[in-house]
Amino acid sequence: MKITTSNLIRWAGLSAVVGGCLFVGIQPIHPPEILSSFTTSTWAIVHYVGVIMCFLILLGITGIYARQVKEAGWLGLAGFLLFGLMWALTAAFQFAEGLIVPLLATDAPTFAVGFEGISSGSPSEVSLGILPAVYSLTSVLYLVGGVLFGVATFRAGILPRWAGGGLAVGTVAPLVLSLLLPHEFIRLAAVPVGIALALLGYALWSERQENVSEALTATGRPQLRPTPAA
Amino acid sequence: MQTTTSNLLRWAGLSALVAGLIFAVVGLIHPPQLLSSLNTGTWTIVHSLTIAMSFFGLLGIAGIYVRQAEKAGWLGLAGFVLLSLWFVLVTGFTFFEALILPLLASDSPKFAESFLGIFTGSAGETNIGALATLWSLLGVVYILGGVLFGIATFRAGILSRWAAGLLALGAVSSPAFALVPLALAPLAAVPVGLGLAWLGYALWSERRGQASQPVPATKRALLSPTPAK
Repeated sequence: MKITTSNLIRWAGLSAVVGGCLFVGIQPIHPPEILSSFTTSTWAIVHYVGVIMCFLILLGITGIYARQVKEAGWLGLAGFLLFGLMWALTAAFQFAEGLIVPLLATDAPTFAVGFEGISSGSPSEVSLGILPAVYSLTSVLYLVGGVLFGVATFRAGILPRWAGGGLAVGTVAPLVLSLLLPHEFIRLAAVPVGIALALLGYALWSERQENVSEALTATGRPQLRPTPAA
Repeated sequence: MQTTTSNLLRWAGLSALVAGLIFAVVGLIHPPQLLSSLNTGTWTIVHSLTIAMSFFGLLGIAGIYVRQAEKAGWLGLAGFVLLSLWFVLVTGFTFFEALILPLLASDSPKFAESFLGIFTGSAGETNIGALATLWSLLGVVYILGGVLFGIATFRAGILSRWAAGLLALGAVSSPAFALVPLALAPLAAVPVGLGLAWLGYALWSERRGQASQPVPATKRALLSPTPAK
């Protein structure tokens, strides 16, 4: 198979599909953030998969953005950069949770518990430096980046609008849900965002035939136009 | 200014330029891998810069790759994916070094020392699990990614071949720096950093050349004269 820009964008779509599905899939199997979970194999697997998920979503949103660069405008660029930065930082958090926290569970358990308490807002017994602030920044990037990227995709009108809209709405949903749901259910708030990313990815992936026929009509028509008889 | 593909590619070039320059420099100003370095200002600056380098690097190589995707072929795609993976995993290591390790210097100094041992090759007292293996694997991903991306860019012939060659040679020669004294080892990053920065600059400064490119095939078809019968 030849590497063409349209093929690459399709593969990026596939990457978004897998990344989005993983984002949904790891939520129900994520062990509780307590000391006894940190050394389990489920804990390790969920966070290793978490790093891969971030990598795939980064490639995926690059493709989604590339497909609609012009139409998504500045809003799309801002959304792409903020959302991209969020996934890069999330990969770093997943990395620390998967590879460092299990080791600290025996060497520095108070620190490990304090670190894992950041996401639930539990107070830590040891200093966590600027980590809680960086986590908050990641949450802001998630909200603002997700909404801007979703709205820009909706407005661009190239990929299904309801998937773009779903991303925007799904991103802000946790704000409302956190008022209604206890913390252990808040993970479910990731589900609409994961599904929206997967759907946008699927739209990119399955777009080929239309693209090909579009390209054919655009380039083929002038050559096929009959020459009027002189 | 409009967000057109060619504008975005230029900005991606700028991004690669910044990432390359940071990469060339951070190794040279990196404090020694000692417990006493962890809470210094230089430690924080070097690792914050490295996190920024990874993000700019991700955007930068995506731009360099997109500019030559079709000509760079499978080699280019493999190099791009490996280098992207490297940037993401380096962010993981650096994030830990910048934000967590300084805190562990007082909470768990033995663990911190064992972790630092990964980079100096000395085994610590504490088990650091898969981290040392992952760091070695990351070295392989870096060399392979750099060489493949450099060669593919060289062969594609769209951006500067000198810069592409520098990137590939820099990556392939980096294992040789294991033979030089430890103090000189950071120099291994310089050619790769400069190669990346140069490719970024080539992408950034390309605009005028592109504007005078020949009319694409689709337009040409429209312009072809109908032969008189």
